[in-house]
Amino acid sequence: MSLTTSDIYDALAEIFREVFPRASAPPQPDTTSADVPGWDSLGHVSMIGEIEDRFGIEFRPEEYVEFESVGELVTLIEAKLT
Amino acid sequence: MTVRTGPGQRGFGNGDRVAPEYLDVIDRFLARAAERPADPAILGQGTELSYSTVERRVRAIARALAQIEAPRVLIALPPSADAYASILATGLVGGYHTPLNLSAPVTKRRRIAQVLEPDIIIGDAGALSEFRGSSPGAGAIYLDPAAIADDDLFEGAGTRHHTAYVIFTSGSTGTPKGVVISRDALNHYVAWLSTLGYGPGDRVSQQPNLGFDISMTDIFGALCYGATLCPLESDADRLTPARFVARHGITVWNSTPSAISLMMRARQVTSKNLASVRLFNFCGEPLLREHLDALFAARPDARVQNTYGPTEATISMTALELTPDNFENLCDTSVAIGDPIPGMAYELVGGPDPDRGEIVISGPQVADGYWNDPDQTATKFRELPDGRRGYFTGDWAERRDGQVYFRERIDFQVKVKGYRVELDEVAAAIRSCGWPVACVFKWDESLAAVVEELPDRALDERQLKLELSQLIEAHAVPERVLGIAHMPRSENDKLDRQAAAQWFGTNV
Repeated sequence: MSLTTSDIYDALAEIFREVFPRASAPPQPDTTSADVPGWDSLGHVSMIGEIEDRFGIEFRPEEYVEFESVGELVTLIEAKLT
Repeated sequence: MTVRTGPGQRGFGNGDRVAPEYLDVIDRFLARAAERPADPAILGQGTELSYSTVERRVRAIARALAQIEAPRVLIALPPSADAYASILATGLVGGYHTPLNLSAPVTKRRRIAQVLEPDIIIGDAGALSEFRGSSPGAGAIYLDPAAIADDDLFEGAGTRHHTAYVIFTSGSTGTPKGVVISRDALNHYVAWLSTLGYGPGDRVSQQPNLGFDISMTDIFGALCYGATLCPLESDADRLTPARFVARHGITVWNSTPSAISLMMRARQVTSKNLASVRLFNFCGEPLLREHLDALFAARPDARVQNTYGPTEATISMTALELTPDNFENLCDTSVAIGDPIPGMAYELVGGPDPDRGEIVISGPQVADGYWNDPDQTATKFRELPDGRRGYFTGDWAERRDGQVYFRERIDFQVKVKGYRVELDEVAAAIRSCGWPVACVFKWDESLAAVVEELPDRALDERQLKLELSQLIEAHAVPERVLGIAHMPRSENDKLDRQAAAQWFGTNV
């Protein structure tokens, strides 16, 4: 079963609710760490840990710093899923 | 009053200084380089540099530094072979250094330079351009290590200054506070590091930023004892430290416990990632039971040590060995801080009973004082009833079942994610952004603030946070800032921080 981009955003919205409980809105393509309370380095690695578990993928260390926005993160996840 | 002293040492006789009988750190490094010149000293940019190569680099930089007698050297370099060589070179030529945290905002770095008035600033071209033209650096000599060739070397064993380094911590007025540490104090600490068993074959991580004194545990632990120093050089490494450990076969890991939190959140505290580590050493903030649960689950056979000490006591001055069998009895709200190391002492002062009070530290590692600040020095460094000189830490602690546990900061200096922050410094930064009335307080693991809104200006939280990030470190920027019509005040018209925090809690 292949995931659509919209499936990935839905899963991310769930992960955001868990990792960033103070976030006021679900993640959008242009959302960055500056928009989300709690998205600091601890939040960042927690989010990636959740994503790795959820999608069964693994981020290389350099990929932790490869994306600026949620849109770029989704592109990275999509590339790993194909 | 019970004085806790390290084993084998009861009090200090008639003085507050133990004779400097310990080897100097520079001489230790030179001795290692002479004994085993081909051994790897530093692993940087994927390349191993031998002890003889690093010694050559030290002597080349020293040659450039020696143009000034007893130079005061500001080091503005990232964790790298040249940074470590600059530290050793400064000591070799009879100078003393101040390391900068390059991830601190440029305004803060400039303020440190203004307060220090260095003779020499070492940095790459980019870092040096930050200081050029700003008043303090105007008289300073700028050195870019890239322009220092290894053919003109400083010969001999050099001379030693009384002072080893001046490290700047967050200051309450917004001016950074320089802690002046003597060579005797540093040498005493580095002599104790031998108990950690550093030696040839060890690969020692270097995770803390150079502006944080616990980085010196790694630098001197490795280079004074013949081990290999392995800096975390990229943001990717700093976000995934357990992967760094696995990739480089790190045998000694030293950091604040926050780095373990990071590994835990990334789900990387695994026996596979951490297989090579023989010793985990922690300093700089309370170690928690959850850290030990995770570490011992992955590595039940590893040595884990907790230490305690403010910058003013030279990196750390207690030690507590933890094992899978004993650690549960040594955990309260945080892990016990342990007994003083040999030669050092602490006592709990000013509490309702001898088992509760402010931690007051004495012994040869106590700092000389604050840089150009006799008032603060006289306030925090005072004579104890028996004549010894004590450093009043502002840390409140309690003794229970023979163990001492850290409780909280007495004043408004707090730790956020392992970093020391003075709430007043953050409030001062908010005021400088045009919000004259502000209260800052700890909120969960972060900071939050309330500002009094102005008649003609509503608060733009995002904009203010952005402005603050230009003035203070990222960890000191409050996670949330709310506007209030009238700030709560006490009867003598002082801002009521507690009431402001309460209001924040119900309105956030």
